[in-house]
Amino acid sequence: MAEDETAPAPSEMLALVRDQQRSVEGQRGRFVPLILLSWGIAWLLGFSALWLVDGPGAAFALPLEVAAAIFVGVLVAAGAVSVILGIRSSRGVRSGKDAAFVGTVYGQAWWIGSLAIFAIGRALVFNGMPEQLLNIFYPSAYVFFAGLMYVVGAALWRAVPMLVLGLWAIVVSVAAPFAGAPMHYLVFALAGGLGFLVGAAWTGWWSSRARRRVRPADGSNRG
Amino acid sequence: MRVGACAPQTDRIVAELDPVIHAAARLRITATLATLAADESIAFPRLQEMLDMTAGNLSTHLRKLEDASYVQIEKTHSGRMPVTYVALTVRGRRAFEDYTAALRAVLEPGA
Repeated sequence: MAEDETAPAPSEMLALVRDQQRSVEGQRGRFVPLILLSWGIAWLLGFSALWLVDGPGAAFALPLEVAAAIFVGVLVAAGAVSVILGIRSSRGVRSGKDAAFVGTVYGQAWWIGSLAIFAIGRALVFNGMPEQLLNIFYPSAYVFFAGLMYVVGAALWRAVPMLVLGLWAIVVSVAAPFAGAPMHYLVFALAGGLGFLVGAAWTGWWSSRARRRVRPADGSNRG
Repeated sequence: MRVGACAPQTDRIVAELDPVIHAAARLRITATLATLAADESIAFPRLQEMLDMTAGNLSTHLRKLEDASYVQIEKTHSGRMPVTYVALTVRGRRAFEDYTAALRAVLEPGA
């Protein structure tokens, strides 16, 4: 290769820095649209299945066991997709103590919070809340918690799409119960599921634009 | 030089730009490493992929950056496989920040 000592104008060098860093962001974030897509599908199918148990009235009813199996199945599948793609995205990057601490605390907070919500629900029943109301409490509490975790994640990793999605999930979690059971499942399926799908399209557009940007005019890529 | 009329001061800043970083390939390498946290490092093949450079080209430029103590190269093992990790040193990160600050000073005087 020719000694690459080309030194273009300051504006070009600054543009090169910006484009290169955007490209790296795009490459490291290319898994995000797939994660959001899997959650969008999971919410759409899972909550629709719960709604079908007695939502459509006498016309059609999905057995509760089938609906519950679909719901748990799609959520577990989406969770697995998230974990696998999340690990793949940081391939080759050795994190230091700070990032490892943040990642571990954030990761553990998901299951600690989930267990806490389960326990609070049981405690409400223990104190006389009709068991039926768990159908309202659990989906709302879990969606609220997930939304809040998204907001926290957005703050930790400065991710705007994550912030928007988190706030949207919180709005859905608060609004849905007012639709009453079982209509609230349909609200979660449509508002929540479609929210994730819009997020997937948005981040997909952004990341494909970001990661294909750097083509330095001096051909410094291939020496 | 495209930027307006070159005030003598601008010329001086451009002339004094860090020659280690003021070359397209090394600037892209430094900019990429600067996106990592201070205590993070990246495996050579992954860095190569992010930059879309040949291994030989990347090695050559990394050596120059290492000679200036701007990057730290650590050869280690993952199981039986040898892995090379690259990271920006404190000095390298500072040099990168000074460099971009100098460019901005030229382009946006008074900003």
